[in-house]
Amino acid sequence: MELEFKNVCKSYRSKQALTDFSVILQEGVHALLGPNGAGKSTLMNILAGLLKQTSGGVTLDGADTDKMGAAFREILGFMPQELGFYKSFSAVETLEYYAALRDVKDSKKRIDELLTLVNLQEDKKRKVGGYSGGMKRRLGIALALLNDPKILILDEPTAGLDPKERMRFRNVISQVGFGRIVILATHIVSDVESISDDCLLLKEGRLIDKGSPDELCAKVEGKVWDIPMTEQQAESYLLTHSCANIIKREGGVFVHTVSDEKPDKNASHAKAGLEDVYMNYFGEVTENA
Amino acid sequence: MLRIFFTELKKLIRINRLPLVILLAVAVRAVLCILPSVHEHPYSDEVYKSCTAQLEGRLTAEKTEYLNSRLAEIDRLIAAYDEMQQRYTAGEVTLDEYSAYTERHGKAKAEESTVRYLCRKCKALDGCTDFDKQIFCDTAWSDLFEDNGFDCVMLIALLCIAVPAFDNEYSSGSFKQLLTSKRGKAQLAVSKLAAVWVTVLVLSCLMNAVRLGIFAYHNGLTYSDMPVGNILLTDGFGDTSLIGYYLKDTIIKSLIWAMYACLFSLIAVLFKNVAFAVLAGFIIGITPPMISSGAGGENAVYFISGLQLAKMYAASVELWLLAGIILLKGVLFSAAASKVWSKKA
Repeated sequence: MELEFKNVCKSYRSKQALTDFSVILQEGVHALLGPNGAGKSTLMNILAGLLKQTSGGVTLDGADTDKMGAAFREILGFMPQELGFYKSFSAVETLEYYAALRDVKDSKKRIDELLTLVNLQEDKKRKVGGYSGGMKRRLGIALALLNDPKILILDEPTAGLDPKERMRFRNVISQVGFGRIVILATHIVSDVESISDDCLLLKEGRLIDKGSPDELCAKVEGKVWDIPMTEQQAESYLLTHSCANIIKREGGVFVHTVSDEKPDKNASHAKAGLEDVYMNYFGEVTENA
Repeated sequence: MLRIFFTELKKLIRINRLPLVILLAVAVRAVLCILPSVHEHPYSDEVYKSCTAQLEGRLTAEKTEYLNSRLAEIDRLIAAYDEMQQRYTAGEVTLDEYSAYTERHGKAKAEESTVRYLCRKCKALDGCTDFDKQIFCDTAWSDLFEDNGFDCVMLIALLCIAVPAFDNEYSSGSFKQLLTSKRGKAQLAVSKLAAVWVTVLVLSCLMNAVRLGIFAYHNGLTYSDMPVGNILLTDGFGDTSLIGYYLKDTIIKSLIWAMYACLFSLIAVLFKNVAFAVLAGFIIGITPPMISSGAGGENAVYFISGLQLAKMYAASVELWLLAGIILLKGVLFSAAASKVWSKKA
């Protein structure tokens, strides 16, 4: 299965949201990384058929997804950034409703499996209106997986989740990620570092780099520095360098930063992670999990 | 398609609290039917009842002749009042003769309006040819038809059903999940509309059934098979019975309400706000019945179908044409609502 974006452009009046986005995706977990406004949601909405691109196209195994229509939607699972549920429906009723819309066969069994997967069995009969943000996200994932999609789109799936919920989410994605194309948009690097097969870096609507987490980390290897400082020095350093964060560990306080040149005579090389890649490309520190 | 229709219907029932809306609407309708209503008749109800009981059955020349002669006698008795008073004052008639006269005069006065109405009715029926002319006490049926005007309760219930059916998707933010499901936008919108149509049709029929049920409880359905022309005093209905007329009118009104449901759905998707959509829907819904008395020309009823909600249908109305136009309007409103709904997603 091969999903190809060919020179996809999207503009809203004077604003160019997406410019010449081209990439070929195969089965696996693909993380779309970029700051807010980078065009991640626009790209996902175009793939889901909710937005029409200004130019370019998306094909699945050579077939135009726009022309595929229902056949494409049948293999698509989508979890938008802003989840909307009917408050007076329970989780089961919500899933039953969407199962009918997606023509899911043997829906009872499938719903039961998904509720177990997202750990909502105990609350399945409670009204969704009373769910916490994390429970709603989990229900959103179950909903996206309802039709056992070959292409799964998750737009900021971990927004507003606590660390425990995030961990649970990562486990779920790891479980369901095989044999399908999972596209996961986020600006929280730690959510995808361990589960993504490759990362697409989007900035101001353009694809600026692509590769597996290891490949991307290799690109910033040698540019990542730890500078030992006092706490006060570190705080004043951060005021002038947005591309850095403070790390407290045994041996004192360090400023962790990415720089082409040695930023300080006391600086020493540090191991590069996906967060450093993010810092290198986007010039800012990612939100921490 | 049926699965998605039933799912939408279930959603309508659960989310819009449909059973509560229907129950409330029916309860209010029932209370309004039970409350006494005032009807002005061109005759005395009691006298009409006894006269029609006396003359009940097929209208014959003898019955017409009897009524005409009775009216002539009543006119004579009333006209003689001044003269009799003068003769009594002048001592030309005895007290017994005068008392007997005043008694007959009083009876004549009491019967005058009723007998005059019956004579007019017989004359009007005389000119009719396409139904079996009968004399019977039709007051209750006549009142039922008169009461079957614009139903504000139905309008409010309809707004409570149709508007949230579409606006819920905006307020709940469930659009994206809906539109990325296998069913296309058009199928989704049609299933929503179909669920609303069916609900409204059922509710409208239910409301009219409640009205008829309470009527039957109070008055019975004794004359229900009489041709309606006997009450409306016109040709054009053929042998349509009183109950048949009521049922046909119920179907026409229900179709109009269903068409209104499509219009209100369109308003809902245009406004994307329940409160504004309900207000606009109420104004649009109530306007045709309010102007119905002033709407000139028989053809107005085809263009402004809502006029038909204010009264029972007239003999001049071509039912098939009216039903066709209502369905066409419903389809147009539905198509527009569906288009706007999916576009605004």
